[in-house]
Amino acid sequence: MTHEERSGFEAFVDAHWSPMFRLAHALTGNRDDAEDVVQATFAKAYAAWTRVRAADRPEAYVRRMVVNEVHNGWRRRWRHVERSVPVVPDGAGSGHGHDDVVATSDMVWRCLQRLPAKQRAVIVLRFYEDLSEREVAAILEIPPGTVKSRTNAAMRALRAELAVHSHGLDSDVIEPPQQPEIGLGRSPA
Amino acid sequence: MTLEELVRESIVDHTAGTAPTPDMAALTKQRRFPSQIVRLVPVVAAAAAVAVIVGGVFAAQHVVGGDAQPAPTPTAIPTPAPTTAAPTSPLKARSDLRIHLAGDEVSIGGARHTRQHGHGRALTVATRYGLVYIGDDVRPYLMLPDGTEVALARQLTDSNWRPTLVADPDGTTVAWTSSNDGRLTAHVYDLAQQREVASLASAASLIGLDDGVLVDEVPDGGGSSYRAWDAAGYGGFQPLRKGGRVAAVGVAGRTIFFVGPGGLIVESTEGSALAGWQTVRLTEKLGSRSPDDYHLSPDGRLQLLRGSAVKDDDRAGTPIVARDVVSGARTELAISADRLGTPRLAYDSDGSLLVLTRTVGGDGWSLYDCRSPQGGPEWVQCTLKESGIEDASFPGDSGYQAPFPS
Repeated sequence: MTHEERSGFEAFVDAHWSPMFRLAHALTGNRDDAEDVVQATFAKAYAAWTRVRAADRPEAYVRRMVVNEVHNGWRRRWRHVERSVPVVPDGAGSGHGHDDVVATSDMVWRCLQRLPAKQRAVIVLRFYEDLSEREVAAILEIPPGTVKSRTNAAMRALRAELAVHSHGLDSDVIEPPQQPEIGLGRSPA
Repeated sequence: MTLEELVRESIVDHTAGTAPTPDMAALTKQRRFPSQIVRLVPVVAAAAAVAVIVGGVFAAQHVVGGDAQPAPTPTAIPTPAPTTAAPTSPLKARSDLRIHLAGDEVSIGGARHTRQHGHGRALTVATRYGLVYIGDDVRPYLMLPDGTEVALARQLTDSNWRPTLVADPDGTTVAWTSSNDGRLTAHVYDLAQQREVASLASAASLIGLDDGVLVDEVPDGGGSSYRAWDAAGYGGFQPLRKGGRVAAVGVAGRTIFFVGPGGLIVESTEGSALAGWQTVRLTEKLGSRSPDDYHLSPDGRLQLLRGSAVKDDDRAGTPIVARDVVSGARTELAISADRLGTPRLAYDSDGSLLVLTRTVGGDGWSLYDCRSPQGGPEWVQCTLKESGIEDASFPGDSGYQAPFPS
């Protein structure tokens, strides 16, 4: 690798390390795994730098590598699929204001981590990375229709999980459902 | 707020904060290997034949293929010049190697050596002969107590695929998986005989190896099923049981351990592919801990529980405990220092218990050696063997990073 190529790679790492780490964190659920994932991903990106930098959108290429890296980790550790999620104590977040928002955010995070890996990936890419169904389909190498169906299934699962654990939450924290499939069981005001 | 917005905000909340700094030196140290396909010639020529003797790997530095075709040319791999050497005499099994890792260094039998082929995150297992690990070139190596490293096989894959590696800690065999041309193969290697003794079509990861029996785990719809291969039997892997709401976590003492909700269940395997074995279902909530956390003794009798460290407000923690998996009898491991953080636990092949822990006032990690409880006393005293160890872990503790690009 030439000095120029190396400098280009280092600039790429500077620019994209943090967002890729956050993506990996969202997908894996913890910082340690996320750090392993991005370290391994960027090492591979360095090894394949000629190919990466020649891509139309190198960051999209590396994002796909992150997803693959996480997916490979899941495959290796697929026995973990039945993750236990700490049950939110009854009444958690039953106060008002900031505490409720935090409790809800925590609950959503836990429920998100409890989703099957493939559903979680779709949700993270669609709603956190803000990618279109077509872009998600390209990353996950699945048809756009599958992205749609997985998204719907994931949202239903999330809603069901949240409904189980949301007793006592301040109803103002979560907006009433606009559509039946994404609500949390409370009727519109 | 819609659920989509809630999800987005939750992810932003929970992934906020400073990202760790990239280890640029490690990133740029990685090298890309040529995309050559390494074709392992099938060892099994006939459907019924599985335990096929293949040639010596130590002397030739090759995996020897089946007898139907000539052995393939070893793949040219741009690794550093190997220090691999052919042993001049039979390998000697030892029962007190106390193998532990300190970054890229390996402590075996009190001597410390630097691994030549594997970084600190390599896949590792301890054996009575030394440390077996998967190197950066995706080849399995054996590091002997004198530091000599021996390649046990050729490159296991050329793709971004993760092999698995298991060992019979008080036996002579190790097993790993390879993936070539889309074919997954499980290889059983006998360290005493210094040769591969079986090559089996596999489909997933290996769970464990004990007394000539290799157990693997196969995705089965949304769950899993488990299979066993018995060196003393015939054929390849035989179905053992479906996973369902249990997950296999180890193989030891002619016992296959599962975890799952509900009470302890001990069952004979009579009538299954494994006569004379038993299965034990430990009571755990599935997924509540990593399968790597089930520290089962080589004889299958004990499970180590980590306990907790001294609290910030100086309240005492709870001790590390060796629990009899069937009777539930608990023996505390007494360590004469206040522990900090999560200890790392292992067994030496002589059955003694090893603890790596950080301690209040101590630098780095300390290694303790504890007698194996044999019933009777409710605690055993552990002896400090080494202290000031940096980046310490036991084989099997560290995650594996495949060196290939996706």
